[in-house]
Amino acid sequence: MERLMREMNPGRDVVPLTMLLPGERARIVALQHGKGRQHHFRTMGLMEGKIVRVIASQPGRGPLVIDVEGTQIAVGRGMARHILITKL
Amino acid sequence: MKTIALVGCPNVGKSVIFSRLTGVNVISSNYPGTTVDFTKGTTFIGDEKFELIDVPGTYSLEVTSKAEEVARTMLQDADFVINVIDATHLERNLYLTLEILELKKPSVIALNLWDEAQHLGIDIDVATLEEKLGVSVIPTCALCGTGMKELATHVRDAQPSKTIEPMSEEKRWLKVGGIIRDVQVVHHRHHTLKDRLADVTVRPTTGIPLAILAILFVFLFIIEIGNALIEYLLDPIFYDYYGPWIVDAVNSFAPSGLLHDLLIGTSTIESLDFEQSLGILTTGLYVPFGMVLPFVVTFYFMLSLLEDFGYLPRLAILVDTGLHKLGLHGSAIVPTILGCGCNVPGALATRILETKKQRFIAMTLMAISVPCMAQSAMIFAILGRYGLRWILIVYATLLMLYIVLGLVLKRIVKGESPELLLEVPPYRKPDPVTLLKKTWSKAYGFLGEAVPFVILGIFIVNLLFVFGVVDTLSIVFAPILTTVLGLPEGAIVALMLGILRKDIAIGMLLPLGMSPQQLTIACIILSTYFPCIATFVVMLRELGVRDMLKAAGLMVLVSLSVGILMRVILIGI
Repeated sequence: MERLMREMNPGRDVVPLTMLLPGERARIVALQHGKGRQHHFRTMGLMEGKIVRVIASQPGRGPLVIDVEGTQIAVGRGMARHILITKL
Repeated sequence: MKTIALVGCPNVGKSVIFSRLTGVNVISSNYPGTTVDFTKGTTFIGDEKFELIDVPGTYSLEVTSKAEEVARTMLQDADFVINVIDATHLERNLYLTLEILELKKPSVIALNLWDEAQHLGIDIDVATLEEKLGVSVIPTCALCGTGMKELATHVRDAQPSKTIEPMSEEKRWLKVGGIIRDVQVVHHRHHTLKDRLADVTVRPTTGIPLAILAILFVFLFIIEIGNALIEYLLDPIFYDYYGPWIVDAVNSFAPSGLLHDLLIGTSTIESLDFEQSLGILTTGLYVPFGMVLPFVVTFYFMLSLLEDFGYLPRLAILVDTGLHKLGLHGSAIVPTILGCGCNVPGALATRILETKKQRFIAMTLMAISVPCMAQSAMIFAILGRYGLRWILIVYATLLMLYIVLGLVLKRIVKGESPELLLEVPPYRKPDPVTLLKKTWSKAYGFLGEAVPFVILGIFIVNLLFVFGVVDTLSIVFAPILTTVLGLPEGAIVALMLGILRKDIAIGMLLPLGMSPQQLTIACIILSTYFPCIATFVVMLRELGVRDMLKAAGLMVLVSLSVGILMRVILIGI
């Protein structure tokens, strides 16, 4: 799976969303959550292929605020860890 | 009568469309999940009467939560469906649309927030969208009323979709992607002031100072405007006009005796006393109208402003880390702030928290350490005359209790405390008319609740005094009140009334001639020992008997401990 993703995005590493710094942009390559949560994410516009930008990262392991096509979502770090991305 | 179900994702403006079509006022907020219970109304289309049901917002009809189950059942029972979708977020709304159309009910789609989508540079090809979905699509702007008439006429002639057939979840997402590619073009747009403000208010370095400023401003606004309303409007009305008139009127048919005392208490023309006379027509009206209402009005005005503007979700993000330490998460700030107005809506709003543990902690903390506006107004009124210091002691103690209890409860309450997952709506310019309507409806609601209960409370107190019950109770509770807490034994009346309503209970402290230290202790105990009856009933329903008993035990225990501690600190042993 990971190999396949690397082939799709040559030269770019697949990393968790938590590795992104405020202001950086990335493409979502996979959601690794349970079925229910994945569905919830998709209904919020968070899905494979979408471009995300980190707007803010709250201190003390607080939530990330991300922008997906103009929608802002606050997502806890534990959940964000399972969103895989490649940096742009 | 045929029924129409109004369905859509949360925060797409369903409730506004509902009130447009029925003329019934529904409270809408720029916050997802306002419609917890569903609302029904009727509407005429042509000369046929229809029943319109506002279904709670849901992202999907797959039953994974209570809200989704409710939505699905209501939808299946309806004759027609209006699916409201947000034109600015077409892609994520279409999944639900496909699920609805798969049910093969006669349906129409309201493409709401159409004006905002155009503003944002989002072009949607409505004709192609209609063709793909196989039903009518009407662009609407619920706030300004555009498209409402067309929507109503199309519902009557609605047909089930001929193009959409039941499909799997994966196929549905693919289909959504396909439709989006065919109908939507998004133009690049420049960053607006609102976008910049949105970013600045969630970045910790700028957001936290701004949040502190905002809260300070709100607090000062409520106090200053509330006080000004009392000084320049309500006190003149009560003392210059109403007071002399009512004393005269009552004296004309009951110059003395039980009826006189019950109606206007100890007030005379020469010494009008609205605070301590304990008459139904003096204190009974002055407390809700003259002391509490001004603060309730200013509080709800500010709350509605923050809600409609869209600030609350941002505040939730900023306080998330802190609230996690108390076993909650950022969204818990919403019930807490609502609780500052009235604990009843506060307790109901804990439903936005996902787990039982979170709801238990949020409700218990609120009942103990979040005083409602009615209570706060009375605390300002009776402690304010001794200086700001005493008010600060009360609130600092309550805040510390909130934190310490939260830290403890997080560890001892079993269950999960999940992470925050929250959509942050864009900032919207609040509509002044809606703002005033909301403030009015909240203030009106407050009066409806408060006036009868305050009057009942004063009636009960009068009876207790007349029949000498107060003396007996005072003797029974004297050991705890006097010896342990350092309060006069008459404070038992206030503690008893506090179960009915907290504002009048604090008012009952006035005639006891207490020192500021004693008043401070009494205010803290009155805030913490037990919720008022209205909050108790809601909490009982939300928590169940067992958890409510646990919460109540905690309240009594905490209240007594803090009372003793404050006695030692403020008065000494």
